[in-house]
Amino acid sequence: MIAAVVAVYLALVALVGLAGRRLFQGTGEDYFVAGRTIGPAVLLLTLVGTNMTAFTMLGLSGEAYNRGAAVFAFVGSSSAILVPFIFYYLGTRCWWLGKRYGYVTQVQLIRDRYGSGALGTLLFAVTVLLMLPYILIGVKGGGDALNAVTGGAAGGIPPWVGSLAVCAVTFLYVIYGGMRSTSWANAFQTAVFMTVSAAAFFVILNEFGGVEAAMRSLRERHRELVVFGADSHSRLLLLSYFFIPLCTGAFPHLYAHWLSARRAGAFRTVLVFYPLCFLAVNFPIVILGMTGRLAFEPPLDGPILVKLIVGYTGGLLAGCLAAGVFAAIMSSLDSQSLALGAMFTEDIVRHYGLAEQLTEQRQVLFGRTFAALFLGAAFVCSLLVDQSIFALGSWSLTGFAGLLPMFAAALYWRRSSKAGAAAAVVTVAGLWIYFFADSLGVEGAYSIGGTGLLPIAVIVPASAAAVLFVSLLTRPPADAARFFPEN
Amino acid sequence: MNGESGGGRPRREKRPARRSVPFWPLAALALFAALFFNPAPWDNDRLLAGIPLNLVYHSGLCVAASAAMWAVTRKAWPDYLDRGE
Repeated sequence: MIAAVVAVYLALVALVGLAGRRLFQGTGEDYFVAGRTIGPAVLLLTLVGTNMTAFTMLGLSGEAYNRGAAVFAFVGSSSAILVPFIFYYLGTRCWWLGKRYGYVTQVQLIRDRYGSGALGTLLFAVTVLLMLPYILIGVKGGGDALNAVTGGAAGGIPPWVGSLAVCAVTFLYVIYGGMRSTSWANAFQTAVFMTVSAAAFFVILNEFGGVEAAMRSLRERHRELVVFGADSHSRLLLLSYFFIPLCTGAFPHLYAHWLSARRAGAFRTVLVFYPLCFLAVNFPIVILGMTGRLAFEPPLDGPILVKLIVGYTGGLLAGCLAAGVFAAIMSSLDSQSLALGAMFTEDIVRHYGLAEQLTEQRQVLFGRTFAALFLGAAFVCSLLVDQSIFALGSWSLTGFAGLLPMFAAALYWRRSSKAGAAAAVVTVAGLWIYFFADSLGVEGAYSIGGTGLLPIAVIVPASAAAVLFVSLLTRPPADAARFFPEN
Repeated sequence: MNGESGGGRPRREKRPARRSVPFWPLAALALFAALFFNPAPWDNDRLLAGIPLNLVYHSGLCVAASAAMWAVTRKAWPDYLDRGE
């Protein structure tokens, strides 16, 4: 039953994605940013979907099981507050510049803004290195989720089957339809994800006598899960997590989605409804994770959400849950592989003149080839890595968040310079390596000196200071004015 | 008739273009950050309509963020974005 539901779902996603192929015009711009034609509703759903990963469904409920209600602030409300502001300030400005100068990647923007090919190549290298573990987590997460829902170690579908399914379906519509297919499939998958979350919430909570009865019982047995905790460790952790959503301002795949908007007005819908969508996705998952503590005592031998679904619902909802996890994974994986394909095509092949006469058709060919290579490599690597790869996820987000001050300076500060931007990238890379090395010998969750303060809370301010002070000491580009609108 | 003759209503001054970078939304963001870190409900285990108070509070912040963004799109939408569309 579960496998059948998942198969039907994957077929539907492929169909929706392939439908986007009908409008494909065969140009590089159409392939990478859908010819800048995406409307507000699809843009909203695709941005929400792109920001969700396997963590949203399985990791978030697991964290809520362990930490309680505070997880909603860590991941839910912090993103609901910060991300729309990032879209407002960075997203709209990137869209405007992209339309004006024909950009399809961040590196093109930075190279042009600071007149430096080398800076662009540095940014390219850092971005790709940060992106790879993030992609790998999605592919491996898909396999693990399908395995867990279908029985886990005791006869579940082998993880490689789920990973292969995720890669194959994503490959199909990304290769054929590019960004338009990706956006349509993402919108569909986000709708599925939200529906599954709501259905799981009502069906499972009903088994516990409703949400009020479940929370009253939880308060009596595990009060620590209902409160946030006012100790300094909890406060520093909350402060640190507030920095995490900043990564959305530097994700190359979100940048591509921004550029795909038909009009700036499409962002208005996104800004208003994004916080509500994030609330709708995260709230039921957190409540379910907390409720899981009433039924299963730690340590768990599988994801809490899977255990709840298998224990309290039928096979149909379990299949829908697996489909929802796949939705969360593929709605990020497709955008990521497409963005990396665009970066290799535009920022390496075109920039360094590695191919003669990069016609529109050849741009599409290169984009497809690179996207296919990434998906293939991600699948192979998912077979080789173990569970420790999931720990790299937060490190990936930390690195991207550290790049945000550089992008903000490029877009809003005329005085910012090439050296300042480079200093920010080098600072992020240096501190990232330092903290990562420091974390290797630490058991459990890492924070600086065990205080609760995460490296991100140091890296982001340090990156901002680097771009600020080095820019003030060096000369800005002479033609900066063309990147700023006149009042 | 066009406002330049003496008898007609004086022609209204052309509205000055809005700043290309509206800054007051940053003040709204700072307010949200302050509310986000508001410690008052942190150690409170009350339930409101069956939901932990902290969750209700942070859910309210999400709804308020949506309302704030609605105001931003109405009152602080940069003019340059819509030029030439």
